[in-house]
Amino acid sequence: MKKIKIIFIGLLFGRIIFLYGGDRTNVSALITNPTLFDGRIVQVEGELVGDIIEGSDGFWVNLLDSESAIGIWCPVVEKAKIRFLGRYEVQGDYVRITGVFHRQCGQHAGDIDIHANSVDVLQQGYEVPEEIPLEKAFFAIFLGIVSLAAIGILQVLSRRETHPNG
Amino acid sequence: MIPDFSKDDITVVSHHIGKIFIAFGMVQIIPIFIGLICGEISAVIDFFISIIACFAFASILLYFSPYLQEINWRQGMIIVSLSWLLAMFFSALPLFLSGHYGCYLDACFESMSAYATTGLVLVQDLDHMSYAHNIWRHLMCFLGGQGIILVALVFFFRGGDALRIYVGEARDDKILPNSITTAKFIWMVSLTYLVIGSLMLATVLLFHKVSLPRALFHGICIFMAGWDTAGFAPQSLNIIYYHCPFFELITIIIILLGATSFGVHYAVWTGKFSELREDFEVKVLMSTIFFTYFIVLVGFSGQASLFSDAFSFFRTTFYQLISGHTGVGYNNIYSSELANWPELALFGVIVAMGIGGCTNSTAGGIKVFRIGLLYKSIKREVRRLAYPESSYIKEFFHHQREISIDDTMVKTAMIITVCYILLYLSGAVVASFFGYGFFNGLFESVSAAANVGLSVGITSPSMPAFLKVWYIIEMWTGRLEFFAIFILIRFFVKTVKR
Amino acid sequence: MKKRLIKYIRMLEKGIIGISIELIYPLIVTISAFLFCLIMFISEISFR
Repeated sequence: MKKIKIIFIGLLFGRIIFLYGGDRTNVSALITNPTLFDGRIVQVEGELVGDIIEGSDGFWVNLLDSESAIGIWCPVVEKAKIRFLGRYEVQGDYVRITGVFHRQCGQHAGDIDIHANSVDVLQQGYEVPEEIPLEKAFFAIFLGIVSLAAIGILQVLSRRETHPNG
Repeated sequence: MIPDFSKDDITVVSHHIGKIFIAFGMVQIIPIFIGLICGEISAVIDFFISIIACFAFASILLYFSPYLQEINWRQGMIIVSLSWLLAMFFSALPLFLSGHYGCYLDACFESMSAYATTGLVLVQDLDHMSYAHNIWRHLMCFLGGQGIILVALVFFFRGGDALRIYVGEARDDKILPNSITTAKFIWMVSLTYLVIGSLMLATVLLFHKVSLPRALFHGICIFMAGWDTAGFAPQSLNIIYYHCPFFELITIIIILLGATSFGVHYAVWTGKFSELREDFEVKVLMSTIFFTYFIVLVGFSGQASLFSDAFSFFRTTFYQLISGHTGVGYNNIYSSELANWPELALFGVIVAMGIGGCTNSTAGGIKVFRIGLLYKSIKREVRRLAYPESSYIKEFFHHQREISIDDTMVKTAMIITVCYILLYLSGAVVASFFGYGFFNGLFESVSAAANVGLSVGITSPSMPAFLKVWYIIEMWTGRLEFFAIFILIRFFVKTVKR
Repeated sequence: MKKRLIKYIRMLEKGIIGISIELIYPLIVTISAFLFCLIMFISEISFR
């Protein structure tokens, strides 16, 4: 009975560590010291970018923090949580990933990855309306007019040179 | 007396550069088209500005030198080297306007890296770049790999002129008797494979349930950069992004075909299948791949247990090796991981990068042809010493036909090899001057000069400006194989002296 | 234009075997490199 109790407490404790005990870190720390974090539970925060690339019993999504990006292998159930992926004019979902970091993932032919246990969306993404810098637009128009005029003048001049009488 | 550079040279050169820039402006209509489809107005404005700049520049040049004249060899060389340099400045403009680059130098670095099919990147926040700009980055690789001027060649030049420009862009063997038909053939092969390759890549991504437009976008980008051995990718993670060994296998197919000479493509396409087995260059390429791979594997001896299994060991080591050897520079591991490789393994990759692919392909480096030639000539010397003095030793190799080695051939190969080695070393010295360590500096320098693009982490937006400039020079000279640049330098020196 | 296209398609018809052979040859290289790697890997593991 005592043994079972110990196991139970142990499990509970393990579960707590499992849930909250991940090392809070950033991606560049993971990829520069992969051996240090290998097989440990880590927690990273960042923006989800690009595409969802589906696999057999889960899917890949890439997480970008302030400096670097890393692949996250997520269970299928988490897919519904992801609404926005970072692209041009789109700010992706800002998420916190808790999962096991692998330096050489045995399941994925040696990939460096995080197998997510949980994906928490901290801030939902949104579409960024395209802003056209006015200076740039005016500059383009100005440049267009000036160079069209210049090209025209040069054309006229060169024609005159080739046909001095006409 | 040897005629020296005159005013005539300047007018001829500026006339042709003017024409090239018209073609060059027209090419930028493609990203504008993409931008309009995707509704990226800001990007369209960037390219609009850039096109106008190109056309204005071209019309000024054509105004001052309106007459078409026959060009000679040195003028051809100057046209090539100068227009590559100018193309770098002009195509950096839309990149810089996109706001993804720290300064104009970074944008220049990126465009030279694309044109020279290197693949070292200084772009920031690539994952949020617009489709138009991203397509432009990869299109630059595609144009640069074929030869920027090859584009213009098809439309604007006459036979004799075309040949001189063709040779200037480091393509010395003519596949077909006429260099314009050769240029057309090169485009035909590339465009056919563009369709096949992009569809293969997109199909793999479709199996992973990536949406169709995105899959096509990734497929086309990766193909354009892979076939032309540039190694750009539309996402900051490069090939790691896809997490798919099968995708990597297809890129290996594409890059190996890209590094194979167009002469072999021509032979195989016209029914001479045995060429693939018999061609001297392909044979040398295979043996150097296995030789350098052997060095890498020996470098990892004692550390194989770091990998989870044999397949992942193979996937990691072979991919970097083949990507280095063919001059692509795709990586499926992080550059910090690559920097942690054992030194002997890194040395193996350096040797592979230094050797490079086939001549008349899209690859960079010394080229396997020259390495093979040097090997054969050593063999010939040894035989000459071993046989009686009166005997005449001939050494042959098969390159479209049986060719016997002569001294001029060996001399040229030797000169270019020595130039490459000096260029490699120079970059290492410059990098170590800035405190990066000689070995890492050597890796990055070879990567830049042989137009590879693998990195051990030196290339970043924060690296010293001088080093960026130095790498730009290395990429430029490495891609054009020295002589065009030497003549340009001579031209400038003579003009200044006057 | 049409003539050109027809010429191109004729060329492709002839070249189709060539293209498929070209697509297979990198595969052969990769597979043989894998076997090479496997031998090295196994010998490495078994020697220790």
